[in-house]
Amino acid sequence: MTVALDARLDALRTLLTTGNGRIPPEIATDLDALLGRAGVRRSLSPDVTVVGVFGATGSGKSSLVNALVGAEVARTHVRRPTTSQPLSVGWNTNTAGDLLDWLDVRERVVREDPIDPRAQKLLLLDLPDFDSVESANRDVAQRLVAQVDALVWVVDPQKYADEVLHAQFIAPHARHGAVTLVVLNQVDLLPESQVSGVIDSLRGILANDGLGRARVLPVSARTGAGIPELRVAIGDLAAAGELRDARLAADVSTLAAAIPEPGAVPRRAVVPLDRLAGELADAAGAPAIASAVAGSYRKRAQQVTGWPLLSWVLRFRSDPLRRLGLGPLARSSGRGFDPALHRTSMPALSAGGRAAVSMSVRGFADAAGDGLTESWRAGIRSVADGTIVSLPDQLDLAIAGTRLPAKGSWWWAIFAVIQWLALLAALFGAGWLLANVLLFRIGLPRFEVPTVEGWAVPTLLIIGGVLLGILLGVLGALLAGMVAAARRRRARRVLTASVRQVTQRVVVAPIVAELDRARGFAAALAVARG
Amino acid sequence: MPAIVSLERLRASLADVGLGLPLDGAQQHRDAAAAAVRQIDDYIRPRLADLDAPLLAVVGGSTGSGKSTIVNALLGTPTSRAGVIRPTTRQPILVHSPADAGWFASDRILPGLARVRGQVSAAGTPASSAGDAPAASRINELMLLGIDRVPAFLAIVDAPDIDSIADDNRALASQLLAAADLWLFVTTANRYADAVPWRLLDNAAARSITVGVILNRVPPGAAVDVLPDLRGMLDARGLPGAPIFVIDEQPLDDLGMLPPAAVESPRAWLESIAGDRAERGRVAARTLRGAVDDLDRRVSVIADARRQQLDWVETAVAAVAHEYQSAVDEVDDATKDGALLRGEVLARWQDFVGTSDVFRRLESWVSRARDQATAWLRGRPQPVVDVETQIERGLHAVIVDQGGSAAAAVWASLQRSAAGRSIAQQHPELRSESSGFAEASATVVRDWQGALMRLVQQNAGSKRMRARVLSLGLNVVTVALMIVVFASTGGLTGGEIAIAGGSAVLGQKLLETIFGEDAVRRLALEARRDLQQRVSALFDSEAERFEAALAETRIGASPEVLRRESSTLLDEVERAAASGDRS
Repeated sequence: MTVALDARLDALRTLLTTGNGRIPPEIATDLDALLGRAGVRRSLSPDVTVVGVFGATGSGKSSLVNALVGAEVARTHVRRPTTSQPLSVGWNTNTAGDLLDWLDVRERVVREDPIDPRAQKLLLLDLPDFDSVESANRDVAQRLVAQVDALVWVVDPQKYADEVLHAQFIAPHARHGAVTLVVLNQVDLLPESQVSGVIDSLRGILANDGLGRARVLPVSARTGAGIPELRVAIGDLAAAGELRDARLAADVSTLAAAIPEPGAVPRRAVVPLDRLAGELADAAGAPAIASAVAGSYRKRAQQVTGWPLLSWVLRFRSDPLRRLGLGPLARSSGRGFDPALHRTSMPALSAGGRAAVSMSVRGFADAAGDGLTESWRAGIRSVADGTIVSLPDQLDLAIAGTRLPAKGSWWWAIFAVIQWLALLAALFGAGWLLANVLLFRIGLPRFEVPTVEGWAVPTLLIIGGVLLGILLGVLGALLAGMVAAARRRRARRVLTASVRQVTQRVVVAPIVAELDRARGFAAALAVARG
Repeated sequence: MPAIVSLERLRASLADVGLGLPLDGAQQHRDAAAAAVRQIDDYIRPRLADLDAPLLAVVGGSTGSGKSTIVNALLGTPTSRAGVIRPTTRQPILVHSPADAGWFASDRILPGLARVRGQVSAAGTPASSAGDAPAASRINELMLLGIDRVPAFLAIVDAPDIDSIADDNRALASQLLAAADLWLFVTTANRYADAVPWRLLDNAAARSITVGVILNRVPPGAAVDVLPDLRGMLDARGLPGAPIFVIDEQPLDDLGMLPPAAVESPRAWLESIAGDRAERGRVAARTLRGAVDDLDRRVSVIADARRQQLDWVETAVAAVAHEYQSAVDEVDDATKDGALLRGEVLARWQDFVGTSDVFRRLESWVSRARDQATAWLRGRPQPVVDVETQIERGLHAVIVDQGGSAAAAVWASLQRSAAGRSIAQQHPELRSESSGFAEASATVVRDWQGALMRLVQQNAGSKRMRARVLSLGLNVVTVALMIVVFASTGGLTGGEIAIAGGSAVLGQKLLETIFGEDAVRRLALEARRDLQQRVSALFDSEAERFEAALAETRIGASPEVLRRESSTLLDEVERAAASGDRS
């Protein structure tokens, strides 16, 4: 019992902290009050049982206390309301001063002989009414009804069906059946034959309140009828032990039942991270960068593998990646390059891009919170709204820090060597022809021009070299196009992966934490409800 | 204007007062309005119509205080079931002199209760089985009993209790007490300091109703203490004239009846009132005056509650307007200073500007050869459509995002109050922007572009301008205008262009060569204003959804009308009373 109560109080503490801002403020106040009350009560005189006698004005609470004690300890009078200060009657409770201080009971009577041998350490409280024109009385009763260990409701034949008693006092303590006694006082005023009918009627009303299992005892403080049985019943309560914890457990159950559940907490697997990462990558310009990667590759490949006589001109065209401040060129140019400090020279996200980021994140948050109640959904939304502010910068950093596939290819060198060889061959052929013509002009003998199948070799060299160069250029361009397309896809993939990491860290993690919080809340609520 | 007309007006306003929002205490005020309407039907209207009609004395009090026993004693025969099981009386019984039967058979008073004619129980029936068994289903029936012992012109109603767990009993008791000309209030030595009956007695004092108090079940010897205490409480609470009749705790006879002597003094009191026509008239007039007075006070409270409701709605509507206004402002911010032109849009525009032949034709100093070289170096020429698409897409995203944010913000603010939550619950569709919002935004963007084209055409007045526009292409000019609009700061163009830099300047140069500097400034202003108007209209229609949901709660009487109608009624009743006194 004690262990379970500890766990349930811990659960309440969890509910209070995790539910902050998500549960109605009045429930948070009640939680705080109950935790405080439980802490104090459990630290004070744990072996003393506090029994409070509550009832309407004129129901005979004070007379009943006097009858139980067997002496005139409480003042009784026909003028209403009579009792306005709580009175305690204690047995073997000399050490319970701090408890009585906490209960704020000033009038204290100490008695010797216990009313029941099993109730050795007992505090019996005679309390003011809760239904008279004196609202201060009601406040005292209201305060103490939350503090005592056991509740004795005193009713009488006139008032046993009063709305104030049932709706405002008994029904809210419907879960306290184990620590409750209901006493029908003044049965001497009823004709003998009708007592059982009234008891049945009272039981029916109690069952309607939700207190079907409480004991109902007919007594008469005036004639003494039923008083011994009531003493035994109080002894039974005290003998059951741990009344204090049983009462607190009932309080916990009552309060826990009033705490709204967070709704169906979605499983983590439902969270559509991939789609979000894709959308954010698009918004952050991943397609443009991927195109630049492809363009850069094509440009550099053509610069190297194109026909040297034409491809030199490509040097004047700017590299698309360098224009964006990305890629190996940017990195090698700066010593001590640090992606965490480095921003891309991509222009900051446009208003349209920011709007796209914001829409994606909000859509994601709404999907993640699906099934939760409004206050928890609102929590997730505000977490999401918080991330939207910093997200564009984080995305930019992530993209700056991504290693893009910007290296050259091995075949460029081969193509380049062959290109140059072909060019050299062509030049050699041309030189040969030129030399022959010049030698002939200045009257020197010409070189022997070998022929192959009737074709002069230098001419073949020129034609072959040029043709080979153009062919290689075309081939290189084709190959570069294919590789560039692959590079574009890869760039897209690695960028999306980077964005995905950032998204996971900046957006998803806080939202998942919020979902975990809701899940923890639901679990704690289940524990608290017992 | 006769008082009855004012009364009907006030009743109509109260019946339709509109206190639907769950603000603090709204339920209480709704109940108060309903109670006021019921009291008008049950009491004020019939009494206003006929001051000479028989008086209605209601015997009311706590459960277990012995109301039925006292009614039985007053009548000298068991008519109302009495017993120890609480709560006892369910069906209200109205006993009258047989001569007055005509006054009560119609629904002149208490029109909400069906009439059943009851039979006097056979002689010798004990009180515990007199009348009908308590049955909750009969709570809406008024049993009429004609009995000779009841004085003429005074009917007695045995009301249910005012404080038991039976909600129907309490509601009916309040209704009956509100409809009474005089009260016979039953309490006991145990009960006389209970808070609930005193709330009703305070109300009786406020209405200056004639009250007699029966202090029942007084234990032997207790009267000495209790009576002065009760007298003091009555005096202190504004009922100094109320007589107290003490009935001692005493055994009932075999039939469960009190001896007739026990109720002799209250009986005599009732008869003295009923027997004297002038006294009867005074009691009726005073109670009517008091009821109308009290009604005025209650209407004032209801009017305050109504004002609160209207104020809440106004605040909520203002909050909606505020959210959507800031959405409009956000769109405005996003579409100036070049915020929309970063990234993709700018890249496309630069490509377009750098490669198309637009500027070659425009700026003669740019050599054809250099342009061609640049074009080749930069890659394929970009069609202007790309730029247009990018702008469209960005603008569309901004509008849709702001619409969604505004809807979410309003929804969140609704969640913060109980009244807001109730509206949110009735209108779950308000959780996000309207379903067709993305399409509607797209239409706005397209329509704006269309309007820009018309604007360009209209402003190309001269033949030369038209030729220039034609040669460049209408959509090239339109896109240039968009660029200028989005690059400008706060609606100004010219030197203020900073962020979008040179490429936007090029757009502006292009336009200036066609239209002239001033005209470009004017065009840009006009285009921006047009966009703002379209976006405002779009967001207005979004805000409209919330406003429509909130407007439902506005329906009802205005607080001023309530107060005016009530004070008119009060004046007229007073005037009628004054003229009645004179005659």
